[in-house]
Amino acid sequence: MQRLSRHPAPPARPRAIARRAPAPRLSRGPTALMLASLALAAGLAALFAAPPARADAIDDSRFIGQCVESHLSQGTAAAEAACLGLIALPCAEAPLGDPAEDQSPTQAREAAESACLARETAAWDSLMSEWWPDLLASAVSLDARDDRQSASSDALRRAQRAWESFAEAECGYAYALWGRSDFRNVAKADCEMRTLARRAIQLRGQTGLD
Amino acid sequence: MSLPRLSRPRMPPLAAALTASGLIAFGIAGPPGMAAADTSQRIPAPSVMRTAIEACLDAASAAGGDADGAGARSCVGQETSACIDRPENQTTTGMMACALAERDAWDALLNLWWKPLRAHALKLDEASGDTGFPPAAPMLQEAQRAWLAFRDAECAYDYALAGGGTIRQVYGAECQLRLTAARALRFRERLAAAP
Repeated sequence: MQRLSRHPAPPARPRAIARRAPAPRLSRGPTALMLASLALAAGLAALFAAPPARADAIDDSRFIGQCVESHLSQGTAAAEAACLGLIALPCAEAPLGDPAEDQSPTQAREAAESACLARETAAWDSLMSEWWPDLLASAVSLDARDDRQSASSDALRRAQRAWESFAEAECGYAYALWGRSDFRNVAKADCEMRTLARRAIQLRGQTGLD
Repeated sequence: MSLPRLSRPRMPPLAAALTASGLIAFGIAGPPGMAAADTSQRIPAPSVMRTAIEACLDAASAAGGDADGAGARSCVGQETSACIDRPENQTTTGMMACALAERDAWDALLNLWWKPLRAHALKLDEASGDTGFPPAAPMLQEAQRAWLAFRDAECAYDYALAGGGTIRQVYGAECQLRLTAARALRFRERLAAAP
């Protein structure tokens, strides 16, 4: 698993070091838990996106978008290598304020890393929303040609829905791998950012093809 | 009532002729082993390709760690390129069969690496007991099921993008190869990170 920065505790270490009481088991299982944390992340993102931080969020996605556009001619792998982590890494290296009273230094750092990753995820998410209509329009125009016998726009929508399910399950696994370790939140945020970023880059690379 | 078993599976002559002229469009995935069905002399067996891929991966790891995985990624598609370079394979069907054979090779590696990954998840779950957190092994299984559905939907899109010509068979096969290899390499990375 690729991680944001040097981190302790590979998943194999005993995970019984619970600093908090385990969360109560939700009747609907992992999905409900994940939805709850996603809702929380979305709430936090909304909080960060509210004025006066809004300009920063727009800057983040412009910054990343320019990175992708300038590297994509060398291929999606080059764009991934150059642009993933562009927001989260410097953000996570910024000095932390004093940890909250009930937080250990590690918990404070992990919370900051999760927030930095969520900030980058929000930037990729808005790029995806910005790029999607162009991509769909290319597919629709392909389909409109007389010599085409395929419905690529429908196939694209189906593929994207399947990707969304995959991303959710994949990052649920990244989360579950860490058991009750607090690092699970960073692992999940890291997975969400990378999975989304790779998809956005890959889809952007297809726009205007043919 | 069964027909006498042939030593080598053969395609009915008509189907073979139609396939050669590109008139039959195969589904994108094709059953495993299809690549080898009537083309065993032209298309290397997936097991042969797999051995070559493993050697390529070992060489990439030996050459300076390969921290960003670029070396491992460069092993994807080499076997297909070599296969397609053979003059007798330079048809739509030949190219598709080459890509599907390499897809099968990566699929075998994916299955090989899946086992320790799953064992690792099960071991973690056993060690942590019933903590109220989602266990890793079922999530891994669910992620893999979701990935499979994604791969097929994504490759159906690639196939559709290619329009009406028989070239779409090649697009679909190439997509199957690319995604299967990427997934297998992800497993390999995770195994390297896990002890």
